Amino acid sequence: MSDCNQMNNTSCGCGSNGNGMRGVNAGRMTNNMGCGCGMDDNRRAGVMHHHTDCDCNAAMPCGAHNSFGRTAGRTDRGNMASNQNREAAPFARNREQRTFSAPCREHAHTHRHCCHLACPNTDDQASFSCYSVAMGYVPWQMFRNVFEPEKGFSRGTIFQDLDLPFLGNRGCI
Amino acid sequence: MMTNQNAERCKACRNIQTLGFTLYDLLLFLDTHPCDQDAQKRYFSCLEQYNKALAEYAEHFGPMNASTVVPGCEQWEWVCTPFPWELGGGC
Repeated sequence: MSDCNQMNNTSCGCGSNGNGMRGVNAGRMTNNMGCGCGMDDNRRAGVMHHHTDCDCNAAMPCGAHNSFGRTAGRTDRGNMASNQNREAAPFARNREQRTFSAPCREHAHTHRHCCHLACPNTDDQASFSCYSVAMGYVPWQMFRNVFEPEKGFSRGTIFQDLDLPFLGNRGCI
Repeated sequence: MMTNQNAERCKACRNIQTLGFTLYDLLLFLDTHPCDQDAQKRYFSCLEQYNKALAEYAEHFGPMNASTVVPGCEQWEWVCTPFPWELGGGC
């Protein structure tokens, strides 16, 4: 069973893909930096957690994070008991002790309607609130949906997941 | 007009191309997923088919690359058979 299951978030893109990397690289990005997922708990390794503990209004996710490698806003690392008692969690410090890099910000979208094509909707910040800003993330590819050699050769890839349409204009899908 | 033998040669060549492409794509996947057992199984299975296809091509049409030259010939076949860009070579 893959650790990177679809709970309420997408896979964090770390090495926790249930393919033997759990014990060694669980929760670690390939550059050996923490990805902020529940790496200490194998059951939840690879799954980002819903961000609720950053002193922000839930309707306006703040995008704040303490540091890359720690869970943005809150941490759900470790055992389940710590999730029920946030004050006892390792990183549940009081407001003065938290080292947020940015205050809660307004929910701003200046380029949502930049093109007439359907660009990805970035309004739903809740699902991505655990991710640090200004960083690039790549979802982890799984070994599945493999074409037969002849089909793969004509499509340019043997992986159906990578066989994406070529729009040829601005790239908005 | 393509002769039957040329058509067969092209079919064999195409088979090698598709298998070789699959191998390279699997190789790229395994570079980032070294512990993926399914991918490894698929790679070695494909490698077996690829080597078999190369050997069959070499037996009927001449070597596809220097490593598949059939020993025991009077002359060094690799240089004596057409290269892909020469007339009679390639598909």
